[in-house]
Amino acid sequence: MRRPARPPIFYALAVLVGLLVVFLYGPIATVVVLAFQGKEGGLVFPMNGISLHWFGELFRPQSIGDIWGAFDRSIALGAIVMAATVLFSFLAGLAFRRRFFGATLLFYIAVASLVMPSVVVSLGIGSMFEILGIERAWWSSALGAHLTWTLPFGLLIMLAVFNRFNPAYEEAARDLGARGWQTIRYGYRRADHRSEPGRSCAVRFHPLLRRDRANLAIRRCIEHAAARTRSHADQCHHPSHLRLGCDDDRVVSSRHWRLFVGGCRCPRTP
Amino acid sequence: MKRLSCAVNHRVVAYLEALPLAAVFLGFFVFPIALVVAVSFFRYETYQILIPGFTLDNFREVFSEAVTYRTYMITLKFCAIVWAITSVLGFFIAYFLAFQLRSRTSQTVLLLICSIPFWTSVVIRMIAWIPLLGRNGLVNRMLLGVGAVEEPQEWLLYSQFAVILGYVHLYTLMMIVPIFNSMMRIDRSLIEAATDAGASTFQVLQTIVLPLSKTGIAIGSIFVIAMVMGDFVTADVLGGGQVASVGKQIATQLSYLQFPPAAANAMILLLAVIVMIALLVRVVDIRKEL
Repeated sequence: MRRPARPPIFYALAVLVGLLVVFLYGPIATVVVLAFQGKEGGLVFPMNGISLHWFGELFRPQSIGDIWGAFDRSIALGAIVMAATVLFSFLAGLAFRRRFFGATLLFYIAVASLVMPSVVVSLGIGSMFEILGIERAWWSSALGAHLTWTLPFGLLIMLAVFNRFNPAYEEAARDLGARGWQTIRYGYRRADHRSEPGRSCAVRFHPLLRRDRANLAIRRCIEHAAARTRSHADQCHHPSHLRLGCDDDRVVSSRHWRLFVGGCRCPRTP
Repeated sequence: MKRLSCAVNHRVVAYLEALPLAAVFLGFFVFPIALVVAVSFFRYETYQILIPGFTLDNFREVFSEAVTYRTYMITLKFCAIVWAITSVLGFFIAYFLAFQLRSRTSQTVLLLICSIPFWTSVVIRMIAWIPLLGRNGLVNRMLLGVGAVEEPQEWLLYSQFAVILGYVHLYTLMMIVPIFNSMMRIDRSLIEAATDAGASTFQVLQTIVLPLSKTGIAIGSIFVIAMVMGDFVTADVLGGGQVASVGKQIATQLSYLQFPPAAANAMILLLAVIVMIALLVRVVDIRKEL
C-alpha cells in the first residue's frame, strides 16, 4: 500500500527544522574547530594553522587557574545535585499522591521557584549567608541555588509520571501482602495502565507470590478492579459509567476493567 | 481504632516524604526571597553591606534614575521580541514533530537533536557566537565575500541584535517541548474527522491544533518570559557592556556589594514577572496539564 503524499507544508517545515538545527549546532561547531587554532591565533577565524597548543595551555599548571580543581568541583556538585534531585523529588512525588496539609502551597512554591529569575534567588541566598555570617561555598550556597532550579523540574516530572500511574497497582500490591517498600519496588516498575488488564496486573506481582496463591491473587486483583469500578460508578453519573454500573454484583471481568479504564472520559476518573 | 492509627500513619509518612523537598525550598527559596523583600528596605554604607532598618531610599533611588526606566524598557522589548519569535518557531517545529513525522523513532531522534545543545553550558553557547558575529567573524566575511555589504558590519555583535539572537538560540527549546507535549495529547480522530469533512491543512491548524495546544504555548511562554526577564549572562556576553538589561543591572549592583538597591530592583523585577505570569496562568491550569 502506498502512503498518502506529504502535504506541501511538510517540506516547508522540514526546511525550517533543518535551519533550526544548523542554527543550534553551527556556533558550537565553530568553537570545536577553533579549539584546534594555531599558537598565534585567537577566538576568531581564520585558522592560524592547526595545533593542540591550546589544550596544552589549558592543562599546564598556573596558566589559567586550577583546571582540575574546577573539574572536580563541577563533577562533585553535579553528582550531589543529581542524587538529591532524584531522591527528593521521587519522595515528594509519593507524598503528593496522598492529600496532606500544605500540598497545594508546596506545589506553588515549586512552580514559583522554577520561574523566579535566578538573579533574585542568588541575591536572596547571598544575603542570607551574609547575614548569618557563613562563608559562601560551592557545597553550601551554590548547591542550594542549584537545587531551587532542579527540584521543581524533578517534582513536575514525578507528578506527571505518578498522574499516569494507576493507583490500583499499588493497592493490588498491598492486597497481595506487599508492604511499603515492596510496593515501590515491584508496583512502580510498570506505569502504563492501559496495556494491562486486571489479570496480568496480578501476574506482575509474582515475585511476591507463592505459586499456590497465584490464582487467589488473580481473583482478588480482578475483584479489586470491579470494586473500584462499582464505587466509581456509584458516584459518577456520566453516561459511559451508567453502562458499566449495571455490572453491579457481578465480578467484572478483566476485559470490562480494561473498558472501564480506557473508556472513561468523565472528569471524576479516580 | 486500628484503621484510625493507619490513617494517621499514612499522613505522617506523606509529611516525611515531602519533608526534604520542603526543607530545601524553605531554606534556599522562601527564606531568601523573604530576605530580599526585607533587604530592599535596609540601609547600606560602603564598608557595611547590610544595615537592618527601614527606609524607602532604595526604591526612591531606583525610581529616580532615568537608567532604570531605560533598562526596563529594553528588557520588556527583548521579552516581547523573543517571545514572539520563539512561540512562532516553537509552535511550527512542535507541529512538525507531532503531526508531520509519522514514526515514533523519527520524532524521538529529532527531539533529541533539538535538546542536545540544551545540555551544554549557557556560557559556552553564548561565547560560541563571538567568532561568528565579530568584526572579522564568519558572517561578516560571508557578507563581504558575496558583496552584500561594503565594510564589516558592527551591529552584529555586542548589540541588541546579538542579545536577541542569543535568547532565541537558548530558549526556543523551552517553547518546543511544552507545545509538543500538549500536541501529542490531541486526539488524532479530531484531525481525521476535520480532514474528512473537507478542512484544509491550514484550517486544521487554525481550528484544532492551535486552540488545543494553547496550554503548551502558555507554559512555554512562562519559561521564556521568566528566563529573559531574569537573564544577566547573555546580556553581558553578547551585549558586551553596551546593552543593559534589568538582570545585568542587578548583577552589577551586587558586584559592587550594593545589596539593598539590588534587592529593591529585584522586587520591581519580580513584580513585573509575577504580573506577566499571573496573566498567563489565567489561561492555563498547570497542575491539570501534567
